[in-house]
This record gives sequence, structure tokens and C-alpha cells, in this order.
Amino acid sequence: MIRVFNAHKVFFKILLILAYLTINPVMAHDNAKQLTKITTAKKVMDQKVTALQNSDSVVDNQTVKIFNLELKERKVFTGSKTIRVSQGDLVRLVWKADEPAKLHLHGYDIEFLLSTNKLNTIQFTANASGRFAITSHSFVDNESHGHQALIYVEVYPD
Amino acid sequence: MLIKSICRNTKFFRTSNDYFYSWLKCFCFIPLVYSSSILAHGFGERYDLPVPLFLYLGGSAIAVLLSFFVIAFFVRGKRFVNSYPRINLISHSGARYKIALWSMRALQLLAVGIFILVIVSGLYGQQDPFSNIAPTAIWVIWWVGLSYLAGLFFNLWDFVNPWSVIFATVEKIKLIIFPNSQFGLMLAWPKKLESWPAVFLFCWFIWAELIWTSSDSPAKLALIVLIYSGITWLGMWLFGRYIWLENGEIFSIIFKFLGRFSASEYRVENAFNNTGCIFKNGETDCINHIACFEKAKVENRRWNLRPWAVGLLTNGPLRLSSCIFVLLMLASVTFDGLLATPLWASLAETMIYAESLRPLIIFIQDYTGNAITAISTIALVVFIILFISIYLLFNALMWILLPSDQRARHSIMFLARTFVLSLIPIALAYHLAHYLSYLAIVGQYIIPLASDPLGIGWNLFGTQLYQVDISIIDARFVWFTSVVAIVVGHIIAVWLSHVMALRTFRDNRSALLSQIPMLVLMLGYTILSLWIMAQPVVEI
Repeated sequence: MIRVFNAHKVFFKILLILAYLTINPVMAHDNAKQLTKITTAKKVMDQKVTALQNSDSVVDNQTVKIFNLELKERKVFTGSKTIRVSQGDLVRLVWKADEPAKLHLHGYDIEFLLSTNKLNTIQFTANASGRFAITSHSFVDNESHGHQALIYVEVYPD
Repeated sequence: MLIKSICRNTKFFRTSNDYFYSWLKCFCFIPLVYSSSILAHGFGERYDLPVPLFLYLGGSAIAVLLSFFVIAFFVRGKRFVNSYPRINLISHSGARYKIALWSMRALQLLAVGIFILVIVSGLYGQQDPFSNIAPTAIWVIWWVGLSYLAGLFFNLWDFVNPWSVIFATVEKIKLIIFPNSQFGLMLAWPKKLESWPAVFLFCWFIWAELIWTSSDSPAKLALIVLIYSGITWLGMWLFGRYIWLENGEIFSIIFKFLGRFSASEYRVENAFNNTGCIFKNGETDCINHIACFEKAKVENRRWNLRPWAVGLLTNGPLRLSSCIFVLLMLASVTFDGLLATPLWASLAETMIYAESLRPLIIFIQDYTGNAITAISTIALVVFIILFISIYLLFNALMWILLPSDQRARHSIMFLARTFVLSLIPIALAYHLAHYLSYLAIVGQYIIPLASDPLGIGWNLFGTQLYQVDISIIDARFVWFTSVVAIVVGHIIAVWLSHVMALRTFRDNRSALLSQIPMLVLMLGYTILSLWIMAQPVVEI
């Protein structure tokens, strides 16, 4: 997903956020908390943990499900091959990759690029139930069977 | 890498004069000559969530429990079902008949139009499967959609079959130009041939549907349709249209078997006196027989509403070839589900590394293009043989349990040919459940494709930019519908089989005894179907 940012919109948003933060220091504190959460996640990633890390937080009364995933040697190293969420959840996938790749979340039809030098975050609202594969479009060759799923996202009805 | 290494190790011996194999290669694997890419099998993607454990176990338990109620219902007395309530929908002379006739002609025209469009679009349109109408029209609308329609409501295919309609039109034109002549050779159909040509062609179709990797390629699909059209028209020209429709045209036969379950029928009253149609079941009417219906006078034609499934009750056994055909239908439907389970994924992995299977895989992949399709082909053949053997085994058990006088009267094959139709409701229910979300989601592609069938930027109906809505069908709805459909299908199957046993044995005790193995078989089939629904979809 490529977003085009208009300069004036961004500027307006920054103004709004600044105004909001100055009015509400409590919220600012919360945001700081979230930031630490992500940094801890990053720390965990640095230790080359291969198990799936899952943490929840609440933004605007909506649960955000955060999953840290690592793409290594063209495979995703996690505890299981599926990510389970509930319908309506905001899902955030934080990817670390050992080579640049173009991934595709089927069904929702979201394509995203992973780069090696940073954490890549993809966020979407799981509004359709089902089982959706994430495949790589850059690994298509004869070795993998073309379109093999790296991981599945299962969205269960509430 | 694996596939490459297998290819490199090929030490495949074949004499150049081996006519059988070259013929087999030419005929069975025509699609493969053109196949080169490795893609996920089938067309379109499935996003089905596995049915949760409690629904799977609950569904199985309810199926077991209700089976005993059905059996108990029959314990007390003899209940023969010889006739069923019917409501005639078209009066033969009124406006309703004319409307039905003209709408049927419009549908025939539409079907021929779509048939030509699919071929033209497949050959000359854009080759991306989702930008070309051919794959969606063939696999989703026609194959899945029409079988839903035939299974539940009405067998439309008998009337709109484009091969039949086109052939009949050409025949009519020829007879107008040259009256008193005949069209085609009108050879006599050898009785021993039964409908084995259809069984043979059906094996080919199953393989193309389930395993062929290029089944979503528009050009290759169009080519297959053309080849099959050639075979069909040749058969019709040699033996006559109706003979070929009954014995060689696989889709007429499939939709006819599914249509036996449906809630409507077309029949010719007093058929023998009107059209000279001969049939063995001892009734005077001819049901769902297009040859008879088209020849009959208008006042003898009926289109009736009837209860579901009663069309599956037969008075006599099917022909052996038809019995095998039905078993192939059931096996292919189940195998399609099995191909997407983790069990198959791990089995495939084991097979591909198994030393003992290596020569066989190398042998077959020479025809099928790659190792994955080769092992799927092996698995398909093994599964079909296993399926038919299990069915025959349970019929043998049934035969053993019968009293000796009944045993003398009926052979095992006779029982197998008699009871095979009673399994159709389970397979149909599984089919409906399996394809429900597929039809709802992938079927939506027809909306943009109707505006731009060739994928070249047309916008005929203004729907070219329609986006497929994947949230149109809820997982919970699919779960409950699937489980209810399979359990209901199972109950109908148990009931049908018992009624047929009463008709065959004319003895309450024999009927009850015979139904013990049948019940076990049906429970096994139902639980297998539910189990497949409870598996996560995995593609290899």
C-alpha cells in the first residue's frame, strides 16, 4: 500500500496532534507507553526470538493485535503457521526481513514491501472472516511451488 | 530443485513403437502438451475457515443419533413409497406453457451465446484468469452454479446444453433443405458398451478439474472445450443425438444424477403409447428423459414440483457403468476436499521423498508435467480404487447378513448397483457446503467480467470496476449451513436406502439387516465429509 501524503495535510495533522498533546498530557503519557511497547518488541526481535510475539493494546475503543514476524531464509519463523484474530480487530503485523521481499495478503488483497534495514509495519482492519494466506510474490521460482503460503491469517467471527 | 533433480534422474524406458502409450498421451493428456507453468490447482481461491471442533463433533453425534430414529421409524411395519405428491407447474395449453416455452428458447439462445463467448474469449481474450470470462464462466457459474441449480431445484442443463442445441439446430436446417434424408450415420449403439465412454471421459474430466495445473488458463480451457465439443458432435453424428446424450455426454449424465434429488421433474405421461419409449421400471410415465420429452405431444408433457430426493428412489438396479459413474462422482467430490487438507500436504511430502515411489512418479510426471501433479494423479487413482472397493466391501457385508433365500436371489453386484444412488444426498450436501463461500465470493467476478469478457477494457454494463466483496458471506453462516446440510443429507440417505431395501427384498427383516452395514458406511462417509470441513485449507 503506497500512501501519497499531501504536505499541507501532514502539516495540519501535526498541528492537530501537537494541540491535542498539549491539552491532554495523560494521553501523551499513554502514547509514550505504546512507544516503549514497540521498543521492547524490537529488543525481543534483536535477540532472534523465533516464537510468535503477540501483544494487545486499545486505540479508540478498538483492540489492536500486534504480531511480530520474522522472515528468514524465505520462511516465517513463528510458533505456528497461523495468526488468529477476531472479526473487527485492528491487526498490526510488524515484520523483520533478511532480504527485501514483496508480500501479498490474499483476500484483503494488500501488497506490501519489506526492506531489510528496518521494522516494516502493516496494519489493516479484519472486517471479513475467513482464512487468508500471505504469500511472497518475489520468491516465485521452481523451488517453492510458486505460491506457497508463508503464513495464514485466520479471522474468526465474534 | 527437487523437481529438477527428479527430472535429471529420469531413466524412463519406452519403445518408440508403443502405440498404446502414444495414443494415451495424445488423448488423455492433451492439456499437458501445452502446460508449462506451475500454479495452484483449481481456479480462484478459497478463504474457508475450518469448522470448529464442537460443530464437527456435534454434527457427527447428531448424525449418529438421528440415524437410529430413521431406522426405528421403519422397524414397525412395511412402508413402501411408490408414489409421491406432485404439482404440475405448466398447464399444457395455457399462457403459462407458452411463457415457459419461450423463456426456455431464450435461455437456449443465451447458453449458446455464452458457449461461443467463452471459446472466443478464451482463445483471443486477455490471458489473465481473472480478466477473462472463460475460467469464471466454466468453473464457477457453470460447473458449481449449475450443479447447485440441478441438485436443488431444476435440471436446466438438459434443455440448454449448447452441444445438444447446436446439433439439433443444424440437424433441423439440414432436414429442411433435404427432406427425407437422415442426419448422421445413426449407427446402432452396442449394448455391451453401456455408458462406458462417459465413464472414460469423466475420468479425464476429473483429472482436468482437480489436478491439471493449467485449469485456470483461458486459452487452454477454450481448447479443451473445443476438443470436447468435437468428441460430442462426432458421437452425436455417429450414433444420434439422444443416444450420445445418454451414454457419452458426461455433463448430461452428471446433471441428470444430481437432478434426481431436485424439487422438480419433467415427465411424459403414458410415455409408451405416445413416444414408444421403453423403460424397465414398470411405470407408465417417463421421468427426466429428454429424448422422450422432446418427442412427446404437448398435452402429455408435465413439469412437476415434487418433494426433494424422491427421484433417487429406483425400482431396479442401475447399469454397472452408471454405478461406476456415480461412485466416480462421489469419490471426486470427496477427493477435491481432501486435496486441501494438511493430511494431504504431509502425505504428498512423504510420497515425494519415498524411494519406492520414485520410479512411478518419474514415469507419470513425463505425462503430467511435474512431480506434484504426478503424485496427485497417483493419489487420485488410489483413492478412487479405495472408494469403490470400500463400497463393494460394505455391499458384500450386506449380502452376508441377508437370509439365505435372499442371498440366492441377489448377487453382491446387484446390491451395489441398487443402493448406489442412496449415497448421492451425502455427496450433494457436502458439495453444497464445500462450494458455498466459493460460489458467493469467486462468483462475484462474473459482475466485472460480464462488462468486459475479453479483458480488453470494455464496459458494456458499467460494472467493469466492480470490486469483489470478501465479507459478503460470514464464516459462522457457512459453518452452520454446512453442518446442517451434511446432517440432513445423511438422514435423507439413510431413509432412501431403507426404502430401496424394502422395495428390493420385500421383507422387513431382510431390509433391516441389510441396512446395518449401509448405515455404518453412510456414517463413515458423513463423518469424513464433516472432518474435511473441519480441516484448515492448505495449498501445496
